[in-house]
Amino acid sequence: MNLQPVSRRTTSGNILIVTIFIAAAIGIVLAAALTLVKSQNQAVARSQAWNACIPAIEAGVEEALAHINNKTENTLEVNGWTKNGQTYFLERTVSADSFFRVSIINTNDQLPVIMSTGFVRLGALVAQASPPPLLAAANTTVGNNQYVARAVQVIAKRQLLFVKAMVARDKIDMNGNNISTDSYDSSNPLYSTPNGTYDPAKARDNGDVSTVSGVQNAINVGNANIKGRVRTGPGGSVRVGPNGSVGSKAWVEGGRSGVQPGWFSDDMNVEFDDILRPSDTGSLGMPGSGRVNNVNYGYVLNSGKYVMSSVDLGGGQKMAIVGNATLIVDGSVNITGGLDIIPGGSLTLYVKGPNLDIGGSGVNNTRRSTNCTIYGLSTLTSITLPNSGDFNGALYAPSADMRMTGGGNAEINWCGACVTRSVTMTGHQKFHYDEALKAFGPPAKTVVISWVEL
Amino acid sequence: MSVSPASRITSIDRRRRRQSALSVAEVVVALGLTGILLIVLVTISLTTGRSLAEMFHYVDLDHYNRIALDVMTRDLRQVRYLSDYQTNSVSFVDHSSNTLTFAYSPTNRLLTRVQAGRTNTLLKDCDFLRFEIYQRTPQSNSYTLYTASQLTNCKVISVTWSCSRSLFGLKANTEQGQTARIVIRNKKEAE
Repeated sequence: MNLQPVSRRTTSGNILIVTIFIAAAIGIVLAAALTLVKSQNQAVARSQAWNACIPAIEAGVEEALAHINNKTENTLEVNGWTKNGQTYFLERTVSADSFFRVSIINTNDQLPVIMSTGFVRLGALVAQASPPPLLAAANTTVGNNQYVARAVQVIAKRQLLFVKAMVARDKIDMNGNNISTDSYDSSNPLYSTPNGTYDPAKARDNGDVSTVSGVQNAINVGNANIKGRVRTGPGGSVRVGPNGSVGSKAWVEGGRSGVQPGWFSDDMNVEFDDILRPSDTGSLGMPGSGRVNNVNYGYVLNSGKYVMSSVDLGGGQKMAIVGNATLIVDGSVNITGGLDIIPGGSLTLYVKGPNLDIGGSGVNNTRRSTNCTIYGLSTLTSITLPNSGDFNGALYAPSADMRMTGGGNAEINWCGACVTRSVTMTGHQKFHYDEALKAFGPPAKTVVISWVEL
Repeated sequence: MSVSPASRITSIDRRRRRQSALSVAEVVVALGLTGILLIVLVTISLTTGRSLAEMFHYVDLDHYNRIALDVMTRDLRQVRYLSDYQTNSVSFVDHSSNTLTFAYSPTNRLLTRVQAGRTNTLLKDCDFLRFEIYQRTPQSNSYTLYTASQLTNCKVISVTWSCSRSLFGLKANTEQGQTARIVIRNKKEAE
C-alpha cells in the first residue's frame, strides 16, 4: 500500500482552524457567563438602590412629623424649612449616596399632607444599564449623577388627648358595684339630650377602657358592664368576674357575660406627653370669694387667668366659675364642697402639686364635659374624686393615680374622659364617655393615618 | 550526475519504509491523542455546560425571587389592613379598597398575586412558602414581635419561601430562599 504523505501546509491549516473554533467557542461561553454575571450584578445593585429609597423616604417623613410636632416653634418656616404658599420644603442628605426631599402641604391644619421622595445614587455601571421592566423607577439625574427615586404620600392627623374613654398607663381596677361604661356625643342630639347631656336611651358603646400595661389582669373588669372595647399592652390580660360583661351594646344589654369576641386586644401602645405649665403672663392673680346665685363660694373665678400657690377649701366650701377662666395652681388642690361651673362659664385647671381632691357635689357644670378640663403636670401623682357628687369634665394627668370612691347606693356619674396613671373604682360609678371630646382639647401629636407610594 | 540502479532501489525502499511507519505508528498515536483530546473536550464541555445551566438557573431564580419580594414589600407596606390569614395565603384590603391576595399553591408550586380580580404569578418552582403575622408591639428588650392573635392586630407580615429547579434530576446549586418581615404602614383601628 502506498499512502501519500499528508501535506504539511494542509495539516497546519486544519489545526489553526480547529484552534480558532475552540477558542471562539470558549470565548462565547466566557462572554455569556460574564454577561450573565454582569446582568445579575446590575439587577442586584439596582434592586438594592430601589429598596434603599425607603429608608430615605421614611427619614423624610420622620423629619416632617418631628417638625410638625415641634411645639416650641410658632411657625413651620424654621430650622431650614422654606415656604411657598401653604407648602413647606426641606432637602436633607441621609448618607453619601442618598438624600430626601420632603414637603408639608398644610392647607388643612388638622390633616397635613407629607410628600417625601427618597433618592439613592446608582453606581456608574448600573446607571448605564437599561432599567428592568418591573418596579424600577426611571433614573433621575441630579447634578452629574444618576439616582433612583421613589415617592410616598403620607396623610397625617392631629390626634387629640381624649380619643378614648378611660386610658391609663398602669392598672385599671373596677372593684365596685354596678360599675358601667358607655358613651354619648354631646355635639350630636341623636346621641345626647337636646342640651347635649348624657341620655341613657341614646347611649352608645364606645366606653372603651384601655391601658398600656402588659401585666396579667392589667384591667380588672370585675362585675362591671363595659359597653366598649378593652385594650391592654402586649401580653396583658383582662380579668372579668362572673357577672362582668364587655362588648357591644347588644352584647351587654343582652345579658351576655365575659368579653365579646373581637372586643379585646393587647396591642395598646401609646405615649403620654407631659403637660407644660403655662406662663403667668396676663395673670389676674388670686381669685376672691363671693356670692353667686345666692350661694357663698370660697373662690369665684371670672374670665381670665388666675395663678395660685395652692387651693384649700375645707369645711365644705365651694368654688364657682362664672366666666371662661384658666386657673394655674402650683401646689395641691383640695375642694371639699365641690366646683360649680355656672352656665356660660368654663374652667381650664392646671395642677402642679402632688394632690387633687374634689369632694362634695363634685364638678357641677350641667353635665357639659367640654366646660371643664383639668391638666395634671408630671408632679401631680394623686387624684381623689367625689364620693357623692358627679364629675363632668375631661381629665389628663398621666402621672397620677386616680381613686374614684363612692359610699352608699347612690350612683356617681362621670361624664367626659380621663387619662391617668392608674384607676381604682370602688363605688357605684357610671362612666359616660363624651365622644365630642375626640375633637376637643389641645392636640397631642400628629400621627400618620395614610401611607401610599406614588 | 548519474545514479546507479542499486542506489535508486535503496532510496525507494527507504521511502516506502518511512511511509509504512508513518501510516501505522502515527495513526495509532494520532487516534490516541485525538481520543484523549475528545474526552477532555467533552468533559470540559459537559462541566462547563452544567455550570452555566446552574448559573443561569440561579440567576433566573434570583431574578424572579427578587421581583416577587419587591412586589410584595411595595404592596404590603401600603395595604390598609389584613382581612384573611392562612399560613399559605394572606388577603388584605389595599389602599384603593380592593382585595389583594397572595396565595401559595404547594401542588402547583406557584405563588400568585390577585388584586381586584386580576391574577399574576409571582413565583414558580416554589417548594415552600409560609406567612406569619405579628402585632405592632415588640417584646421587652428585643426585636421579637408578639404574634397577632386576631386580624385587626396584624401590623407585621413575615414571609419565608424557597424555590428550586432540577438539573439532571438534582437540585444542587439551583435552590434559593428568601425571608422578609414587612411592616404595614397603615393600620386599621378597631371600629
